[in-house]
Amino acid sequence: MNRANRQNLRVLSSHESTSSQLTAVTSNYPASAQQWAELWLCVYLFRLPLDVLIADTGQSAVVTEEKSGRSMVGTVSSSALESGIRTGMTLAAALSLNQTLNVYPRDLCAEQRGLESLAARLMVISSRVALYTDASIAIEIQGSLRFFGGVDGLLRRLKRALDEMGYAYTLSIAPTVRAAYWLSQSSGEHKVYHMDALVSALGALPVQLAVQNSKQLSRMQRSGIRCLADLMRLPREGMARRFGTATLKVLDQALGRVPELVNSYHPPGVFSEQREFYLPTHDLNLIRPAAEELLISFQNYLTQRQSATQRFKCKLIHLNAPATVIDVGCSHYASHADHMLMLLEEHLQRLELKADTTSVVITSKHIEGFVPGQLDMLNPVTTDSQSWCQLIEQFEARLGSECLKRLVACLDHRPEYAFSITNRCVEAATTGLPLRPLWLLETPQILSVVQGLPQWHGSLCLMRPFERIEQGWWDQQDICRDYCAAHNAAGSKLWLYQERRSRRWFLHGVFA
Amino acid sequence: MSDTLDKLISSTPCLWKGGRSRQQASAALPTGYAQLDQVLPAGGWPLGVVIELLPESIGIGELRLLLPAIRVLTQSQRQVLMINTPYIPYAPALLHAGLDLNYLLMLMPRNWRDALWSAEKALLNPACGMVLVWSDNFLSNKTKLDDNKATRRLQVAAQVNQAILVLYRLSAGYCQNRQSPWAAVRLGLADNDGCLMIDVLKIRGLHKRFRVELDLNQR
Repeated sequence: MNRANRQNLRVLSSHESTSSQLTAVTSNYPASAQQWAELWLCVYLFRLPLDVLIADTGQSAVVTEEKSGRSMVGTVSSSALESGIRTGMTLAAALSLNQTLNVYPRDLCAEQRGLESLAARLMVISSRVALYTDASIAIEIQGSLRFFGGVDGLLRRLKRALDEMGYAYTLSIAPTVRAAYWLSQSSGEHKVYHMDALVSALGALPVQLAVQNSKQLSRMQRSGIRCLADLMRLPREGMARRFGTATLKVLDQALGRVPELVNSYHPPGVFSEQREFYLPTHDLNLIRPAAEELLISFQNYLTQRQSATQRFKCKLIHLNAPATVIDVGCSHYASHADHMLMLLEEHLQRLELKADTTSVVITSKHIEGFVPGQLDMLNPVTTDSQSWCQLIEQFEARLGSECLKRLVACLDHRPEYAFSITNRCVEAATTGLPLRPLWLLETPQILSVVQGLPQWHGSLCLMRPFERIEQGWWDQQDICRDYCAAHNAAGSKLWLYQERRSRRWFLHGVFA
Repeated sequence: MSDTLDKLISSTPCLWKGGRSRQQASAALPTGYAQLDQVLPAGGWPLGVVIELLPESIGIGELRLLLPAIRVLTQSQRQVLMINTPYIPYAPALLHAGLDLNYLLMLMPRNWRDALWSAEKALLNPACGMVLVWSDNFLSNKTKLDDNKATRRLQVAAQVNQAILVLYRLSAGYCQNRQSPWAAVRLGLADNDGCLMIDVLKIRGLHKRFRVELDLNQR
């Protein structure tokens, strides 16, 4: 940051106090300063080990941790706190205080899952979300402030999401991520918007936050260093010599003197979710709502990542049989649950369950960046063509993609190579050829000959001119034919050829 | 009824013409043959109806009759679906007729039930302009589906987006008692020395039966 910007900041910070003023203040930043500035919000989930295991409905509960063979009390619920149970007690001591205590062993995997799902959910607030420690999430909010109408609007949105997930939390805002994390550890909602205010805001925090090494910590406490302000008052050289450079580095990061690298959270690139049934079921009417629920969750996942999918799998897991896998493909990118459910429904309708189903899984590995449809306001055909694409998907889902055919003309003089059948839309080549029939037989039909004239529902009358089509040595499909039109007594107009080598007549097309 | 009388009736606007006024109000798709447009009460293929075509035999021009209409539809970016075609539609010939193949789709369902299902789904789609169904190889089977009911459902579906359903069946295998009363137009097609003889068996809005001879090669 250059000197001019620094001065500018100092002037602004002198009359900055409330968050409502903040939006006005930030909008006056010079552009370079705004690009540089970061504002971190840290959510600290202080009761996470308990919250992922039970929804706190006022019951006395503790989470225990094993420490050197003994069960120690870790996280304590609010009503257990009232009966005098504290973190760090032995389990026996806690049980003696409250006999009705519910005890849960700590589940680190569940905590990680809970933290990740919260992080995925908070990605609606900012694209830079980080799992900062194993119980806190840091969000860079500077870029989102204007969208949410300032800090107040953003916090309202954030708190609603946190309350819905049912986590106990404290949060704080600071210009550096470490400062925000430290502030969130203390009680109260701290909001620090400027670098210059950091020193005084962090000063009152206990020194334990900056020092992890217990030997160093006790040495500091013996020297009378209790809060960060005491630590900051020390000369740098002396501090580095006495307590090591690690503490100094952490402190510098918190004060914004040294940048800190934060690993952003990225939601997994594969979607997979499962719903289990209480009892194994044979009833599709029970499976359908479960699949719908999963697809809605899939839709939320796609919306958060601003992506869409072209292919997903629905797996029905059976008790004593291999799982039934339904592969659903979409010709266009799908991101709406309704659309995906409609496609899945076509498969389910034709499904014959061989065994009872215990659970449903929806997985998708094909997550791709958002492909917006044509957003042309003046072209109403767009929605029609989209709905037609959806219909084609529905046909493919029910009838199988081999039933669906598109035609393309190819540049070849041999009739059977002058077209091809595909499943996809292809640009057609235009050809200028003499009159051709509308129907072509897949394999030419051999005709019997009576008195030199070929027969097809009666004797055929040949019409001139004849057209000679031959050659094809380049792909070993050499032909040597004389084509002509013909009609029979009923008026059917046909396209025949005589193979010149064998002199046999074949029917190859019908002028429908 | 003589032509003069017809002309007189049409020139009197306050005269109620049984069933005909509604037909005139509805839009039509030009057939591409001036001769045919003149005699059809809507001035072309009526929209939102089931048209039954009963060719005497295959290859007399039963598809060529519809090609100009299909060309207009594909060029105005309406989708055309062909269900259960007897042979492969030949792409160069279709291109020669001016069709945009990107708007043409073929569907080969395994049974008549799937064919009817897809026809109805397509008709209900706003992008669809025309659905052509060839029914012969399915109906010759023992699958006795209630044909009347199916035609009625398709008629209702066709009305939703003003699409046209064309139902092909050979008149040889067609018995009179299986005639469905729900088709708005029923035309018998026969060959008459290189020309297509259209026998108008039924058409909504007209009570007379008449014949039109059309030379498909000289439009």
